[in-house]
Amino acid sequence: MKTSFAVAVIATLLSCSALAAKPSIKQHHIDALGDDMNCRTCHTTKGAFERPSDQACIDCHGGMHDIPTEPNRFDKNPHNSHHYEDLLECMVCHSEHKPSKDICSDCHKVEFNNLK
Amino acid sequence: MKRREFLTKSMGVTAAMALPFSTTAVASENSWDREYDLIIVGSGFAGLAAAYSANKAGIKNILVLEKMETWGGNSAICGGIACMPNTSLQKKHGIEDSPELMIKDMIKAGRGFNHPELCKTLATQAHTVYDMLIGCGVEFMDKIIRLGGHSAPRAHIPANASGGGIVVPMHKYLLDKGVQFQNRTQVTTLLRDKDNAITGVAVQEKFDFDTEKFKSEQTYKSRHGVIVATGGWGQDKQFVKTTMPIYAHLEATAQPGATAGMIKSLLAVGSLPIMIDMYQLGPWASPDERGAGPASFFADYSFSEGIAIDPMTGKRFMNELADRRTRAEAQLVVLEKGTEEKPNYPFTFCSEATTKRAEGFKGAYRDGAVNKSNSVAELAKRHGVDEKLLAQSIADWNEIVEGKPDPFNKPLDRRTELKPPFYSLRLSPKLHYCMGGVAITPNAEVIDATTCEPIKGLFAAGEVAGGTHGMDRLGGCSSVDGLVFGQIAGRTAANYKANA
Repeated sequence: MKTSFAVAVIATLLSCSALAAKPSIKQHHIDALGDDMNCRTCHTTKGAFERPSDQACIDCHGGMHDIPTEPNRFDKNPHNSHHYEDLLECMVCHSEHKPSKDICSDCHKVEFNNLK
Repeated sequence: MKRREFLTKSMGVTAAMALPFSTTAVASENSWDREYDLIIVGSGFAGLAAAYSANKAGIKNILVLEKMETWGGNSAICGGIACMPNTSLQKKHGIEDSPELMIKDMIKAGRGFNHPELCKTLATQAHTVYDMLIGCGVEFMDKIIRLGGHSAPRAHIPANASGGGIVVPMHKYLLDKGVQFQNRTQVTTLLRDKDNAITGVAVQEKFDFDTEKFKSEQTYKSRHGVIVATGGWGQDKQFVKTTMPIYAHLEATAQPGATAGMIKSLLAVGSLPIMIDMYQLGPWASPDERGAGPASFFADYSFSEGIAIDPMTGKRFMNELADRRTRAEAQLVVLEKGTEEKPNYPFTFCSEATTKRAEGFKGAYRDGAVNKSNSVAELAKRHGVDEKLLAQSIADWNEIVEGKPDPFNKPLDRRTELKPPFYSLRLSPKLHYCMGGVAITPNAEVIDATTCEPIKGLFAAGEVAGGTHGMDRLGGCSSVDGLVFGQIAGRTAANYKANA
């Protein structure tokens, strides 16, 4: 436990230091927020960086019901799916520092060209 | 050294290897990171039903743990079909049925290997599941269909034709009741006190399934014992290969998280394994889609109103509504006639009228698993069958539709003439369900391998428990299994007090 904590602390320090490469921010967030977009916009917990909570997303974007998917030829509506409705966390599909990946395509043939 | 001591001590070693920083398997008092009244491992049908009944029984502080990011495991991605005799919906449709008839069907499919009390418990309590689901806000279609091996139509289908239509309303109902849900939490060890009673779990928090990384290791106390509702291990290639080598090459229909972690933990604390090497193959599976998707749902209707053909003979080769093992084995025989260069996939097809009522048809047709043929010649060419033989098989079937006896004795609830355009699907069985698991009592108590008596504080429900279905199970019964025994496990745990 102590070791993993120490590793976490070091990782956190590195991620904020000028020496570490800055994680990429997606263009639509830069366009929308400019210089106001910083690590703490999404990583809202105090102390060590955590995977952002849904609330960090929802504060700006609203909930899944506020963001319907455009009708598509696959008849898929990931923000109100038959399997999960609106129960999933945003980060199940959406990522900031790496490409997003819809979980629908784990099983179904589907493409979302507008997946941010 | 007594066997018990040996198990306890060797478990300590195993756990120490798995969890280098925090814990041994024997929990010492006052060392818990968190405490709950009841911990349920797994958020599918069985876990949800357990939380439901424990909450009804007055247990407060309930925690449902889920290893994955997504909720509900296979329960969320399945078709959600539930076979329940004597529900108000089945009665409304005027269908004659009884739990006794269902038990007969289950035992036939299970080749007589079913544990009678478990089988009886499922069939007689199934109707209580229907009432629970309606109470949680689940909606069903206003129809009842017949699945293979069932001697009456008793399959209820959620309004959205998905298990999500059950797990999401239940999950929300339970959230509303104050039940806590925590995902990305992998249980590594079932913890015991000095009397060998299960008192809690060791977990990895913020567990990432893809990388197997986690944030921290913690121990959680559970005052009413632990309910394991973690489903099967169909995606655990090593465990499947080790227990049943001949199935190792088969694609599995389960979600990626269906690994053997919890069955191993259950065995490690001395649970008695039952039929651990028996697996069910899904006879509605297709090589032309992943897992069991919309095409599998479509196949249930095509089997019911259409026929299945062996391309090499051009003839029917099975009762398309037999139990799953009968059909899957018949298909394997057909497949084995093929070669790598010239495979011999059996296929099923039906008329357009049938597609109109088949859930899954639209998606399966759109995604290319189901194909349309405008004539017998086109259908024959598509599947590499002799056209004359195929035409004869269709003519023979249409005589059966008209009333001639069927040599395969398929029950016909709806008589639909087989005529173009045809819609067809290639078939290839996939590993679908772990028949085996830990032995449980009808009260969902896990049985100790050394004493054949219940292990104190350890309960299991759903696919992770074995015996109910015997050697193979009928369709639409694992949902009911999870929901019935989940309910029971929740009640049993509510009545159980640690150190009693």
